[in-house]
Amino acid sequence: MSISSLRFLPASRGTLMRLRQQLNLVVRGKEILEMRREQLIKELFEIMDKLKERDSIEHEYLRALEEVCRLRALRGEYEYRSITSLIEPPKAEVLLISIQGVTVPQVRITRDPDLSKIKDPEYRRSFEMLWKVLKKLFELANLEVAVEKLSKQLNYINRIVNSLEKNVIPNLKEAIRYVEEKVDEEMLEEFVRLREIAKEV
Amino acid sequence: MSLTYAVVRCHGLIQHLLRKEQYLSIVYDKLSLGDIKEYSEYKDEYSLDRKLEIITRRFVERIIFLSKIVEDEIRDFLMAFLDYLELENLKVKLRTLYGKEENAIYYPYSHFIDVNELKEARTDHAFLKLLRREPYRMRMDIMRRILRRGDIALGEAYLDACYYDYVKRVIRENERTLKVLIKFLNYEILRKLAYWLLVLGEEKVYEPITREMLQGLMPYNEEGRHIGLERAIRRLGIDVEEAMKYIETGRITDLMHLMRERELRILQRGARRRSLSLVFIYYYIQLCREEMYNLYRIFIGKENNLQKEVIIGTLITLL
Repeated sequence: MSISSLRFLPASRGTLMRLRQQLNLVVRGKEILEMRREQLIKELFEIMDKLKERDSIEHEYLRALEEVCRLRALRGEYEYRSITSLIEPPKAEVLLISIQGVTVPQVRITRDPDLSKIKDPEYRRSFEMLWKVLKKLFELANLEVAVEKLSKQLNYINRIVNSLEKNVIPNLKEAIRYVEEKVDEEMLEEFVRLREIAKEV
Repeated sequence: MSLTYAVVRCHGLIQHLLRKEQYLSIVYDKLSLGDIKEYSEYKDEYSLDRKLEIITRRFVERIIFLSKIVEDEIRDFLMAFLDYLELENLKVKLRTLYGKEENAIYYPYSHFIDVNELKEARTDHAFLKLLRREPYRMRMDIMRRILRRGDIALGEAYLDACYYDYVKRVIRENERTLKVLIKFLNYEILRKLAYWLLVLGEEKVYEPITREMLQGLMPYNEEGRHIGLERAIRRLGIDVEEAMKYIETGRITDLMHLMRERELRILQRGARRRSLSLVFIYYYIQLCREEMYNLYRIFIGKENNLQKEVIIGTLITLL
């Protein structure tokens, strides 16, 4: 039943009862959504705290990358490319997990790159350092995706709560008031008509 | 032609090598490499691979040009010097046998082993067949054992050893003319030895079996000796404490860079003292090689957005 059609409802006690039940349901729903909103905000703040590390991780990443590039320049492209061909690349998969009931895609590394064929300690150290930072960046990306998905959900809940608060509940209250008045008027009319009939009889 | 003629030509040719100011201008984009007559083929819009190829070809042309104006015994040495690129190609192939071929690039140079044949070799067997060729005289049983174990680092060390064995053989065959270079070649060998001592460890290098395999990594006429890391470093006039700092922080490349710089400075002093001898030719070819490496460093650094100061820090400039 749409809100705008409430005015055209038959003004009866049955309608009044149904409208009151509906109002109760909507108010309870709104309270539950507000609680959920608070939980999501709490979760978001916790994730945002972890995201504060982004600056230092990015800085670390740039340093590791610069070290690898410097090594590349010093050792030459011919050596560098054949050395990197010895690396067994890492494996990752995307999983869907639930955070506070919101489905969030997350990258999970299932296998680290295999550097065992590289014996040069400096290459190994530089690549290990770069991979360590890249793993942190993956985690960061996972958190950012979670923030995005939770924010979308939060936005959706906000819209629903606002709509309930500003539109649905006032309209229902108005409809109840209107039906109550109509029912009272009809009761009064019925009472007057019955009294007139009694006088004539 | 006479040695004196070749040396005098080298005095002239050295003037064509890039100077520090030119490197800086290229780093700061004030000068394009293509503006320099020697590299007129170069264009800024070329891919990194193409740029590196042009630079390498220039180096090869310079050495081949020089080899045409020297006596036979010096020519053999110059070609052996150039064959280092072929050895590097063999190392690339060895790595790609255990990695992926598509990533690899090869130096555009062949002498005894055609680079296209090398690229085509996809199996251990095909690779071993190429290694049988002279003059590297690799022992097939050793190489087969290395390939079976997949010990790439030892394989590379063995290739280096075979290469220096070959260079030393060339010197030995013409010792009367080439003996002046032994001292300087030994510095290069010591640098290589230091590298492999760091990568493989002293114990492994001096194990009875590997010791025999890696004889080529010992300086000329010192094949039976035990040269430890500290001794190798000290012989290049580098402070051991300073070197240890590099080693402790895992900066082997920086240590090798320092050793290479020291090696070139010693050679520069030698060339100044004996400016009309074969040492000067050796100094010139080493400078040609260093120019190639410097240009690699600049273009690889630029391609990877390295800071200009960092790129400049990687250069070795003697002129």
